[in-house]
Amino acid sequence: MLDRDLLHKQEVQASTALRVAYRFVNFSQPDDPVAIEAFRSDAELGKPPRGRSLRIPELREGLSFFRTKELALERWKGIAEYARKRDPLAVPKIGTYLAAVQLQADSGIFYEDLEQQDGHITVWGQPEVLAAGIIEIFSIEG
Amino acid sequence: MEYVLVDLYGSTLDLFEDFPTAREAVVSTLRDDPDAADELLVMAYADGRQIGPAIAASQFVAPTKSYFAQLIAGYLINWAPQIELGLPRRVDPEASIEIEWETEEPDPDAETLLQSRSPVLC
Repeated sequence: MLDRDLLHKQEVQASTALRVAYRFVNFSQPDDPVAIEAFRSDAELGKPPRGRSLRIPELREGLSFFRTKELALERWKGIAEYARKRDPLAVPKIGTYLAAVQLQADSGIFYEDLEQQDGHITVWGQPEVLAAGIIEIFSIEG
Repeated sequence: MEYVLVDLYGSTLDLFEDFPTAREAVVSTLRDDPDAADELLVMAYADGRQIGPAIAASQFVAPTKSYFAQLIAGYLINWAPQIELGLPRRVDPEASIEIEWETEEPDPDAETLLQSRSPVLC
């Protein structure tokens, strides 16, 4: 297990095995004008640091993705069901779409994969570059 | 068993190897950042599978007196309690709510383990 008190950031290169990652979004079309906004980091959005990012501030400049579609959907199901149980009329903050994003090599994209069971990874990159990498958006049925 | 601190936007914020540490981390976060009460969950994982929520940050906060005052005012003025969000609340580390399992078929062993460690009611 990698040390979670350290940052394990590496650049996406041609040799990187992980080339597609999944992120929850609130739009259904890759060319949606709000797409770029979905790739702004917590630091850009002014969200407070929580959890590991309190110890490693650079994590706030990254974005949450998942290694696989299946693990992302598992997370979605747990959160959406919990949110709906609290308030059946609430729109789950997690959104209802999942974007598959190609992580282009040598495009200034970095990632950290702690090989966690939940499949979560952190990705760093320019919002425009990440949004341009969307290859498919899945509607999540809950 | 692994405990993953997540927010309701789907992000993983931290990871813990035992329930008490995860619980303390949630309470500690709330002391500094009470607004997190509506945004944090701890998910339990076993054998690469998400078992379900083990802790909800909201279980550790209770309404303050001003909450009730504003709630009553809301009823009187609007006949509807539409002012809940953003009201002050207090962090109560002893508060306890048992989280219902979200998965259709929870792992019986994992469930028993969690229930034996997590405090009370539904």
